[in-house]
Amino acid sequence: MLKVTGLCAGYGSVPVLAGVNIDVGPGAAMAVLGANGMGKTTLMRALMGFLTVTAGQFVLDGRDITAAPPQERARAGLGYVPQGRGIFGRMTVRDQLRYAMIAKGRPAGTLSGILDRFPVLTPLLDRAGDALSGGERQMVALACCLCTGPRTLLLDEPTEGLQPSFVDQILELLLTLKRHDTLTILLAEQNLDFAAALCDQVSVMRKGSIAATVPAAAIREDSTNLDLLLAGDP
Amino acid sequence: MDHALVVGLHLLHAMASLALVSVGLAVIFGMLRVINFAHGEFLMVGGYAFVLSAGAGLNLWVAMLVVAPAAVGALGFLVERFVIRHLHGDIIATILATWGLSLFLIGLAATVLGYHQQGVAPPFGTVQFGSYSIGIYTFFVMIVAIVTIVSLFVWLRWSRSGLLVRGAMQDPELAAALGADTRRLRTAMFVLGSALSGLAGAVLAPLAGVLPEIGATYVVKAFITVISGGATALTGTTLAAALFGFTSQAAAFLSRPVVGEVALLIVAIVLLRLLPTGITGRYFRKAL
Repeated sequence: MLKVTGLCAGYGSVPVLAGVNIDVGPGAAMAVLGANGMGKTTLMRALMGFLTVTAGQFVLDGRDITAAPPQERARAGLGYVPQGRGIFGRMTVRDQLRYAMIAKGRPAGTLSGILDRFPVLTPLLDRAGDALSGGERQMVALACCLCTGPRTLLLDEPTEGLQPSFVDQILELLLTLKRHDTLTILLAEQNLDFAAALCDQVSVMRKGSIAATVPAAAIREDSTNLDLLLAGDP
Repeated sequence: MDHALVVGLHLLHAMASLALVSVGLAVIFGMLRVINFAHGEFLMVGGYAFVLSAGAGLNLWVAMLVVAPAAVGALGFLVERFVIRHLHGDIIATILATWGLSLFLIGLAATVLGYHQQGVAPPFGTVQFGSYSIGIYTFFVMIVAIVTIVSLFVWLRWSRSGLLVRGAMQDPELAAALGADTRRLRTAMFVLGSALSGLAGAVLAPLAGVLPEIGATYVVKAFITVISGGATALTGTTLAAALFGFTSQAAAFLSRPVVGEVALLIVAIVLLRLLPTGITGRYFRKAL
């Protein structure tokens, strides 16, 4: 469960988020859509603890983690896949997965569980992060995030620049995680179809706050209203 | 033949000495990206910790291999905890703060211990090669350099904590997002780099002696070596130390020691002109 109330944050003295309110229940998924520069990535980075929050509150599974550093948020069950496929460039895929398993101080398990879920990674285990394609990097980033055993996922534009086959694979995987592992998901996206297919609710972010929230089912039937919202019409 | 053997040993010794002088900076500057202008003074403090504790009657090897690294490691902990951490990676502020620390340590050593050179005679005596003799301690310096670098490689490559450190150095934000306590890892690495500098200062003290201002003779060479090594700090520093140590010692043999120093600088300038990102910017990119 993820509840954000009146969150304000920014870069230095430049405010970006102006009172964001989000409420995602256990096992539910919410998408935050918006054009570039509206504050989606800032929201994700603030929720992960990389930006100082100037006002508001962030409660995860009943625990107030507004002031917690990133590693404590990760240890509280928050997983984060940053924009641009955050992986270690000079580390093999095998080491990256091991890293994610032990980073919280847990004993290293075997890789077989995660490789069953991501069979595409098996032939890539000894390849360095720098040598992977965009889609492969996204898979590694997602696999690493899951290795930490999160209960809530923050995904920042996971489909950006990916070929359709990878987008389908990621969608299928996330739907499975949502249904079978009851993961709570907060997704920042520009791909409306992907967001509507994965999430239960879709919000539109404009000028640092949530301008509107609609059920995803309504968008799947008719996205005209949301298109208007995204375009900036009231 | 004997002459060639002795020259070869001196070349190896020069490479090993430069690697030892630079390895602490490879960790602090090469991996943590902290420009520590007080690196030379960390070696000086290591040298004094060894000389003074050995002079006070402590076992020579305990003083060199335990007391000196521990003392400078503790100094590094204080510097990281109370100075470096609060500068948040600001390069200019870090340079100024560590430069100030360097001047403070020199002044403190000069005030408390005086400007006269202190030292300990190199242990082990000498070994004869025909008409040439060489100090057995020279071999000890080589062994310490090799053991230090190989241990670091093994630790970083195969241990659990080494893996955590590698990730935290490559991308601290990603490592933290995965749950690693990057602040603690950075402190630990700064302490490790400081302890390695202390070890180097102590191991070289029987050959070079210790003076409050001896750090100046180390710091420039160490920075040139680590910068020329490139992004992959440990491999790069080891290769650059081998190249520069060999060049400067060979030039010193052919001419005078001062020419050796000049040769080192010329090779470094040419190298960085050809490989602006250092040796490992182009080669050995997958190394550590």
